[in-house]
Amino acid sequence: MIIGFYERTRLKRAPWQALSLVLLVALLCAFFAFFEGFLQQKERDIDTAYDVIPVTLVLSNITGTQTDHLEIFDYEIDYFLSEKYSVRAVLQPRAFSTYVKDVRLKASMYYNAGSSFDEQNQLFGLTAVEAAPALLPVSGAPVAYLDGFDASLFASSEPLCVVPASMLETLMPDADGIYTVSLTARMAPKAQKESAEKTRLRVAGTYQTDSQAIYCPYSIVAALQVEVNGFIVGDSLSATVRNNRELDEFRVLLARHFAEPDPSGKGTQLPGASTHFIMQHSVTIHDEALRATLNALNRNLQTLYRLRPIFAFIEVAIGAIAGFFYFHVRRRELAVARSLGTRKSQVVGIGVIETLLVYLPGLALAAAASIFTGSAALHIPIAIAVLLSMEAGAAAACLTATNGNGIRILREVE
Amino acid sequence: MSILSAQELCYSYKTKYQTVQAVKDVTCDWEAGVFYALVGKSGSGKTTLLSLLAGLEKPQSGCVLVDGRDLRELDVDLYRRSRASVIYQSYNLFPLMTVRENVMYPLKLAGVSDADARTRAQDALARVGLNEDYWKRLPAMLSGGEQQRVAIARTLAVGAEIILADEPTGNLDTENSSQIVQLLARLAHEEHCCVLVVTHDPEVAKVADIVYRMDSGHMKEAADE
Repeated sequence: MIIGFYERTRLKRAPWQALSLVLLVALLCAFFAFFEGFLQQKERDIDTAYDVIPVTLVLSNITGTQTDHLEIFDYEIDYFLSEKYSVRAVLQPRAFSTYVKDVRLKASMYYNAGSSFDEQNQLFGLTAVEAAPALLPVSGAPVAYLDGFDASLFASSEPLCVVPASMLETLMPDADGIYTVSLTARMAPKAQKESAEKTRLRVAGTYQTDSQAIYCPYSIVAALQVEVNGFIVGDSLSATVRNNRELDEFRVLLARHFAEPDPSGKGTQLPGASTHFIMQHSVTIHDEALRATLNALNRNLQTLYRLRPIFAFIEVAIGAIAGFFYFHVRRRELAVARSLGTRKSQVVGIGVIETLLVYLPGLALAAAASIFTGSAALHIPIAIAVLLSMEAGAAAACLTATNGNGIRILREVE
Repeated sequence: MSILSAQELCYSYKTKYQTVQAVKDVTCDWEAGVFYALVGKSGSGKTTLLSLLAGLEKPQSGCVLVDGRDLRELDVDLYRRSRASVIYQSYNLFPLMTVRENVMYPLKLAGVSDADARTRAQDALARVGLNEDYWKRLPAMLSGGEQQRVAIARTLAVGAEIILADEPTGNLDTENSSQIVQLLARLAHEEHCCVLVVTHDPEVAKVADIVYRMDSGHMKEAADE
């Protein structure tokens, strides 16, 4: 009852004092909410970095100096394309290929489209147009796809192809206006064996070049290689890591089958294999951008994590000091109340309740600010710690004012 | 039976360099309806004795009796709230409460309803000569004499029987000082209160029925000297 009477007059006539504490509470709580929001943003940045920064891997020779014309074996290609993955005849629960995406594989043969096999007459099979730098815009001769076709043709198994623009001029369209190239294929121009039947590839696009190279889906060349050669040999292979968070796990897997680039060229022995079984190819993982970004973000995050307890301590200290001085400046009033017969518990009650009365709108203000600005929600443990520290400061000030020296305060001449 | 008594009251406190024996073996009875003055040099223990009688300090030995009962056995907060009231030189009003609210405060403390407390506060203010024009003013808007009247009205409102005043005229001019002393004397003689005033002012001592002198912690009646 007396606390209500006191607070009614107090808050009515000195709202600015109360408001200043309300704002301080709002500032303390909002600051930590913003700090937590900033921290969470940094954690999200790390997630984003994992999600958006591409990590590519490129197969190369054992010295790491050559990435094309590699003679990649079919079992090596299978790691990247097959849905099954076995190690020493034991089927693994998870396919190697699930660690990668956008596999850019190129395999080649030589073709004869009517005249003769020639070094110039190369037939490339691609899993994606990116596997052939000659077809990319950066080469200056991007592919001009015919109506109804686009780069996705390479991922299909349709008998389609992209030919030099000059070659298209020599072809005759059929009644439907479709251009077709008929060819036989060999592994080398002077090889003995060639495909038995002519393969008909519909022209789906052209590109500007002086060469005679034809590009078609990888599956076409793979089928021709199996027919002519008995197995598949790839020229180049690169891929993107599907989930960068699994990069370390994937590295372990890669190390089972591919060496680290070794400038000495000695090669690395396949784990568990006899000494003459040396890994033929190495893999370079281009994760420099990801690592640099993660390192920078992690450094920031560690700094923020180190600052968090310091900020928390400062907030609690400020809360306690503010709570104390908010009542300490009124110690004469509190001593007067005590001299009039107000019990010590009631004086402390004035401190505790008034602190709560100014704390709650401050907390609401901080919550509104964090919602309005879209930062993180209020940090409840800190909000509680600020309240408790303010209450402790207020109670200490009230006890100091009413304890023993209260009489000395009353005798002070204003 | 005396309303307030001190029996072999002793009190000392420590300063940085020494222990000061502020009150030594004070034994005295104070009656209702009498206006007492307590004079003495600064540091003679007058205010300390007043604090002991008000229950604001606890004696190291001896005791304070209220209606024959040891103050230590009583609820001291209740004693200050309803029976004894202290008036200070510096008025000690709540600065953010109006004159009326200041007088209402001890009534609210005693659990009196708002309406009753307001009526009783207004009545007490009228008795000390503060009319309606003053009721809604804040203490800062009053003169020293007027503030002291509010402090006295505060004791009147709760019906305190023991009024302990610590140099109540110390901050006042002669005219206001005289009015306050007359008011306190009237409380003793007309309201049958026991009024004990600590003072340096010889004018107050002149008006008092009985004058005590404090000297180095000892108290004796001035008439004995």
